[in-house]
Amino acid sequence: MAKIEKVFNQCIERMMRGESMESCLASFPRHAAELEPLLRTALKVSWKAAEFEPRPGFQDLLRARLEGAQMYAQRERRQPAKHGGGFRLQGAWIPAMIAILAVIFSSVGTVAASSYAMPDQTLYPVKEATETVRLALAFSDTDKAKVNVKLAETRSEEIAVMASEGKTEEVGILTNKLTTHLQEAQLALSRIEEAGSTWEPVSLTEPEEILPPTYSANTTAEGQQGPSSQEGDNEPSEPEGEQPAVGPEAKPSLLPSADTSKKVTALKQQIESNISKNLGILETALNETPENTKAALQSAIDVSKENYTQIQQGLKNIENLPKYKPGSATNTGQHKNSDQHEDDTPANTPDNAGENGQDNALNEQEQNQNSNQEQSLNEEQEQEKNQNSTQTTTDNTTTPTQPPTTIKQGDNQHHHSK
Amino acid sequence: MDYPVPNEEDLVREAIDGNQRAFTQIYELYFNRIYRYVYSQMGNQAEAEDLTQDVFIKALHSISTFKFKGAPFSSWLFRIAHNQIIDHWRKQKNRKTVSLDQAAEVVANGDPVQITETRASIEELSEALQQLPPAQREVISLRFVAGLTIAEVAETLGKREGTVKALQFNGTATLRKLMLDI
Repeated sequence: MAKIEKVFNQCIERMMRGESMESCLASFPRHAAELEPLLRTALKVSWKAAEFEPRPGFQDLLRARLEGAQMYAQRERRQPAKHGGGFRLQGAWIPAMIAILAVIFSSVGTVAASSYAMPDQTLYPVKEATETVRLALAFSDTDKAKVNVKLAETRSEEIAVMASEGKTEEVGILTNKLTTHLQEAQLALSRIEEAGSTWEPVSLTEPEEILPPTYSANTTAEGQQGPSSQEGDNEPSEPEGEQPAVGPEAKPSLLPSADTSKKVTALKQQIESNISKNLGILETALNETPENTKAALQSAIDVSKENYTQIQQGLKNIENLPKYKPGSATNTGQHKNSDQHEDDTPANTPDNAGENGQDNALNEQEQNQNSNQEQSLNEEQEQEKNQNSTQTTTDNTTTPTQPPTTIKQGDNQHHHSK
Repeated sequence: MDYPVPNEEDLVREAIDGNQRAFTQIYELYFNRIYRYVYSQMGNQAEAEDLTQDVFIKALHSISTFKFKGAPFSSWLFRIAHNQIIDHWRKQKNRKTVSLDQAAEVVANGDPVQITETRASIEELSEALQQLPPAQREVISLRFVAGLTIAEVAETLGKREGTVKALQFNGTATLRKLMLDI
């Protein structure tokens, strides 16, 4: 090894441990002239590389994806029988089982007490499990949006408490969770918007022809099975989809009702109330938090505002859809029980669907939408699982195996760019 | 400024045991370094994002196999990134040329003067890196962009430390000439 190369490598090592370039050069005066431009080049690379940044929000988005993948993997691990056998635990059964287990293994008092638990307390996992059940039981997109915004409020309260105690790390973790909830709410609103935008205009005479809707046996079966069905032909209502959630004969029943526009209005009011409350909690906390956590808390506020702006835009988009506007030509349905259904969505059983006229017809249609949304989610999960399976196969060639010990652990110095 | 990562080993052990929060913290610790390393190899923001995602997804699915016997965790993770990049190049016969407009705009946050300066800065470095021989580019990226030690780079690339030092020196010398020429 040439002398200059050896000296250069020594200097780089010292500079990466915090020593200045000038100090290194002073140690090797005979090589300084040749060494300096090389060291400056290395410094320049290190300095400029800090400007390699992804798109704004990408890091948050990927974090949310990873957390989702982790939750899914954990859920998969909890399933006792994955394939084969007569009973497969998944989809709508999972929250039910979680709830049953929660009742068996936890006292009511424990669950109630956990609702006040903070992330640094032992009961917090119980609180998280309860929230998971709440989310899992939110079948409709309206409910998903509501629950996620409500949970964002809970996260905001926790952030305020953690910030007041100077727990920066917890504030950061909770901010990530807050972001995930708000992004989930945005996704739910997007799906509502997409479903609304795909409703085709119909004449005022058409409702008489299409009510009550009929459903194929296959659709009903899927409604019972939840998301487990893989072979269904039904596609979730997406903008480019030719078929709505149920069979062609039931397609016109996708018309929104007067209650639907009321629901949209109610959803908007509730979410805006939550937004105002959440930001109020965080901004009030900012005045009282210790200096060392102010930056983390400010970050939570910024993230919240950014996401809330998008949520408000999503609500505005939905509200502006012609079909949702009260009094529009297509907004003529009369379905008294729609709001009740919103609250009773878990009761998605064949017993209460499609028996008596319009109300039940709409309930059944909405349930089928929920079922198909779950089916769609399940299909996505299955696809992800297949991809994971493929990745696992690929891992054999690309994931590094543990090589023999050649490095002392003490050599493992990690440097993390700011 | 560089600083040591605290309690990384504990975090990794917890992540191996399935602790979701621990893995998320590892992700936070390594996100920038992995992204910048991948970007320095690809010279393209969209591809760098896709590959960064693949790296962490793969790490998530494989972390249970990691054992504290030999290589440090950082080498293990960067080796996943290295392999992802190689796989990507194999799949893509014709590599895309450098595309840095979006990155510059993102970083500069809308200030036209800053956009120009940042774009020029990023382009200069990225173009120079793309012109390095692959072995030199790998070492320069892992050392000066990702901040790995010589030992970690050697472990990541499966090369001897002496080879890494030689590539580091030669790569820096080549880069100096390239960056003067640009």
